[in-house]
Amino acid sequence: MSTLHEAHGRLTQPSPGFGLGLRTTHYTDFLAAPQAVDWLEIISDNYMVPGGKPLRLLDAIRERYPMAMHGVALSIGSVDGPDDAYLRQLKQLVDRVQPLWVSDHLCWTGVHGRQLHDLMPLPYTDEALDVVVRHVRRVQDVLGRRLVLENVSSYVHFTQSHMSEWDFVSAVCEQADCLLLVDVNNIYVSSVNHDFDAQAYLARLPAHRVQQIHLAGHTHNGDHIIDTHDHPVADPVWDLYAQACQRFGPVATMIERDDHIPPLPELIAELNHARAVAADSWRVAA
Amino acid sequence: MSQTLAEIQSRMQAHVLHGDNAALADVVAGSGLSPEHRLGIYHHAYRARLTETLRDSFGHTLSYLGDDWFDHLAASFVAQHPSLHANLRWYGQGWPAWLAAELVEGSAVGAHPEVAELAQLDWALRQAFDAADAPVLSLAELAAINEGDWTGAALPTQPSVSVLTLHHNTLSLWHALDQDEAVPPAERLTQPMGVLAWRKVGQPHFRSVSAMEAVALSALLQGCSFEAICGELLAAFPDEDTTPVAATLLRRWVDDGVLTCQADLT
Repeated sequence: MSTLHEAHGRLTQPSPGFGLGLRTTHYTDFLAAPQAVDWLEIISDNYMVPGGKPLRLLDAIRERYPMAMHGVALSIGSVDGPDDAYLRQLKQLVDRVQPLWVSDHLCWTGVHGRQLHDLMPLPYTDEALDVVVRHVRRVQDVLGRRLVLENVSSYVHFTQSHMSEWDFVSAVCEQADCLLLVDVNNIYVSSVNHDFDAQAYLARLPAHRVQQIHLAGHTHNGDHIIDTHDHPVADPVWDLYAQACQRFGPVATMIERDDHIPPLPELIAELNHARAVAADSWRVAA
Repeated sequence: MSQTLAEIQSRMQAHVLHGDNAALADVVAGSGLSPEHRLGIYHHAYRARLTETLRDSFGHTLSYLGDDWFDHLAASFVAQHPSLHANLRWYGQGWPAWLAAELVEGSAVGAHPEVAELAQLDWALRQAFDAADAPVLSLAELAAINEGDWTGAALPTQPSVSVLTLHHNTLSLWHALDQDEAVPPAERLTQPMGVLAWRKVGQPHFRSVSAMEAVALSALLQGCSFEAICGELLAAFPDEDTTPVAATLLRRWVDDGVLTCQADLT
């Protein structure tokens, strides 16, 4: 399979299929019986703890499923850069989990030693690009692998930005030689919040660097959308996902649900819908 | 207006943390949303997330106070205590001490020292949940320390162990909250009560301890050997036959998995 990917100029690993975010409410389901889920994504930070049950159960579930690691606090875009101690802990978890890949967000999460615990957007400037590229290279040196970066949803666009988000994302990927986690819901959310063309965004991304796709639900407040991950995936996001599948081909896809988490069979049914949408789109593209 | 990334991030963070308005000029208005509204989403989300973290880590304190009072106190705490750790797990470490200083005579709700004690217990169990793993010391391993001469060796405790001193009927409150029963009125105890919290077979546990065990645990946590613990007990309870008590306590700590073995002691 890797030969096929290389033939298409891809820099990514072959897709392991369709996955879900591992959440504590579903631990027993994953331990009790095999589930129709090809792989799991863990929130790295939830397991960057000293010990106890979280790590014990992580090990047990890891024995049964391939896993990708997804972090929320690397702060790749802060002027201060990723914290050394955080990177050491992340590397320890990577050594433990042996993940498919390691991802975090193209954002910043705090400066001056303060933590905002949110995915803060960046101004799309040459300086921010240089800062991010420098930090990604450092992280990749520590981890010994390409980092996968996710586009975030946002509610502000900076007056200082002089390039589009998609050009910024693409430039980071090319200059830092990293990979991309395309969050289709985030593109849709931001396209409404900032009034841009979501399809144009997709069309400009470097397809050969797309390692993973995220799907999630959101809350539509009329004049703006909040990225809440507490609803099923919305119809416009499914439409955008179909276009992403046509453009990127078979890419690992997973559904993120962080609040109002339904029973696992409900999420697997939603994942099966993603499988069907993807299969149709690949057929159209072929 | 300065345009460097450092300055843009500093201004936006100042808005999130303190509502500082300098960042408003950095934000494009559009799609019918003002810069105030747009930045306000981050400002609000920060408070909501930290408050939710406190609610999650201090479940019994929340049950005791109720949503409104808890959220009111949490809002004050969050405003005064920025998060300094990348992992939310650590947020709230200072909450019990802050409650102790806040809910005193003269506060809006009067003196409620039992609230801080409930929070202390919540936090001790939260820490025990995912404290570092360490091998449990067995009786056979204890006997083998220093080739049998173990009484002079320090007895390391599990990283999950903590000991609290309660001055109120906090355990009664806790149990009532836990069982969803009528919560008794808060009362000051005639004698302080020690509580041992730790992780036992993967689960956080706690139990009250006698006055003697409290002295012994205090010595144990300071790195004392069994001999030294016996000395501390004798000093604190000169009229009692403390050595058999110390032996019973040691046996119980071993059975409870409170102690760990270290390679350099075995």
